[in-house]
Amino acid sequence: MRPVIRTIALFFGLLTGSTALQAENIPSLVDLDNQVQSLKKTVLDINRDLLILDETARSPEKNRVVVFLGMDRMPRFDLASVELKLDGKIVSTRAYTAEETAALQRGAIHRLHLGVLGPGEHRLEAVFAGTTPGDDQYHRKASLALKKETRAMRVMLNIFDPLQNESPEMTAKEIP
Amino acid sequence: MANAFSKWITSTLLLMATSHAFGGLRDDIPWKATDPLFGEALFEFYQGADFSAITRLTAAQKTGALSQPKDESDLLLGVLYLSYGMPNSAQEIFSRLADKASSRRTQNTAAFYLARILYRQGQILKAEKLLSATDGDLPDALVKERDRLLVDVLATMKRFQDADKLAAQLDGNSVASYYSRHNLAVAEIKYGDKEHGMVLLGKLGALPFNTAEARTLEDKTSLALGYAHLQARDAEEAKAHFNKVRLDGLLSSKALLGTGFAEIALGQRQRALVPWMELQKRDIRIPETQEAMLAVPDTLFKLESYKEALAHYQRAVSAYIDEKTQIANAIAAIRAGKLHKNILHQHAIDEGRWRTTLQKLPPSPETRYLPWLLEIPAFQQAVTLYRDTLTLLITLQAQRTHPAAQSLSGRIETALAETQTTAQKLESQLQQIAIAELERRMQRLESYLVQANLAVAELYNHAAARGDE
Repeated sequence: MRPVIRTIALFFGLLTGSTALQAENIPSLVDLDNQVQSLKKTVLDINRDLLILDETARSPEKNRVVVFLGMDRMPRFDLASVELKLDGKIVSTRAYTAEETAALQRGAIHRLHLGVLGPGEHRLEAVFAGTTPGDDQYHRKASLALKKETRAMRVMLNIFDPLQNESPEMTAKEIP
Repeated sequence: MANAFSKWITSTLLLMATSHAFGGLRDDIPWKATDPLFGEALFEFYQGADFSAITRLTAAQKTGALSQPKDESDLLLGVLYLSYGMPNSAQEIFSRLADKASSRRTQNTAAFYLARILYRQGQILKAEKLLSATDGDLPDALVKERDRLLVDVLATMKRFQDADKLAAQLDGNSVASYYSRHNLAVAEIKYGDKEHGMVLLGKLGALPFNTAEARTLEDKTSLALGYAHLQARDAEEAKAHFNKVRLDGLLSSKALLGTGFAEIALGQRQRALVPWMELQKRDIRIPETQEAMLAVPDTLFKLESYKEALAHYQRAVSAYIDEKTQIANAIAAIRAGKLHKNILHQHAIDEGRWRTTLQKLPPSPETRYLPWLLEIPAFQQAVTLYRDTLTLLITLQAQRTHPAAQSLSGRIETALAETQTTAQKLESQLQQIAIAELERRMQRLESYLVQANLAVAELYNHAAARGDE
């Protein structure tokens, strides 16, 4: 009669994943991996250039205004949305998911608005809404008088809890 | 059994998800954005949108609008490339930063990531040199990771004493540390002090977490201990470990086979039949089932149950012949391109939906062996690359229709053609790997079939010699 076929040594090969067809044993797969990585780089470079072209077309440098939103770490505050007005006109309304809020609370920054603004004096108003432990319809606003010149302008909105009492506020300021 | 295969696919897909994307990257470093454009890249990165994050960050770098220190933005870019499955680009960045970054912390961080890449490439000595040269000035999360990686590196170098010392200091509550200590013990059993390896494996103990992945790892440890004890001729101890493997787990077939071996080693042929008979009732695609279909009648013959042995051998012959037909059909379907057309090409940009589809595949020749194919590292890698390529094709097609695309159309068309060629090469590669594996299955079955037919003939001879009918 036949002996039992399976050897124990072979089993240890299986445990550590060293099967007959390891990726590194196939040279053409290494080449293909390099090719795919190179293609990713090409596609990313094209995407980067498209983004630059697109933003330049939509908002030429001298008229550009960009509004960013940042947030301090407030574990018990859920941001629901932010509405942005320029000279009384709504230019952006953005609802935030839990993942986006979590990203903001880790120090990430969201570009809320990219637009154009002519030289002169303008007014920016922003309202955020969300949920705090004591208020499920919490909202606050901030405003800023802007003096636009013939260069790009950047504004930062920041939501923070100045008194550490779960009553977040918002500031708006021009940044370099 | 369908449910078991669905679990199998889920577990293999989990491995695939973590295989090319280096895990944990999003929590490694406490980034601080001093420039909103850097913060925008983080916004995408933290949500897993690596492609968008790289686009944002490189656009900011190219336009010169980024005020974040260059070393910091390069470090983030390196991490993003790593996360997006571009270790070559990441390696270039980390090599520069490891040598020339202005702060020691950035140098150390870059050296750690570089070592990780080199370790994966099999450049073990270089990885060890880099890790040993990094001092403690690293982000907190990376200090532990550095030690864990060094354990893996030292184990690969077979420097078991050094690896043991370091492994003893690893965080007992982390899944990654448990993996490292498990792999070190198995490596030691294979290449070093076998008994010490078994002690280490035994010391791993109960896991401090309870997920499907963790339970599989526990089963893997029990299985490893079982086979190690069997090899060390301690069948009683081996049996105790095989019995700990969950019967409804993915590794239960290997454990049942091992239990039978242990009983045979203890001279308990009758008792060996219990796990092997259970095993031979399982799906014929499972290699251990195929093996049990021979082991059972072999044992019955030795127990002088000739009629039963004959019946089992005849059943095995019939099952092997049927299974050979199924393998032949699968090979024909895969040669006809059905594997990538009907399965791998589905839901190209929606990984979640694709994974759900995989778990509910209708029976067909091209899907019949997918759970086993997905366990092969080369096949996994080829599938990942193929899926990446399909995503790139869709992205390029979208870029082609972008209003600003006119001035970039030459680059887009060239990239599209190159990506299509690469996708075709990958389809061919996937076919080759799948067919090679199925041909191996076919050869194994043919060998089993020969053994079963010979055994049947021998049984008839034996019966004739005994004067049976």
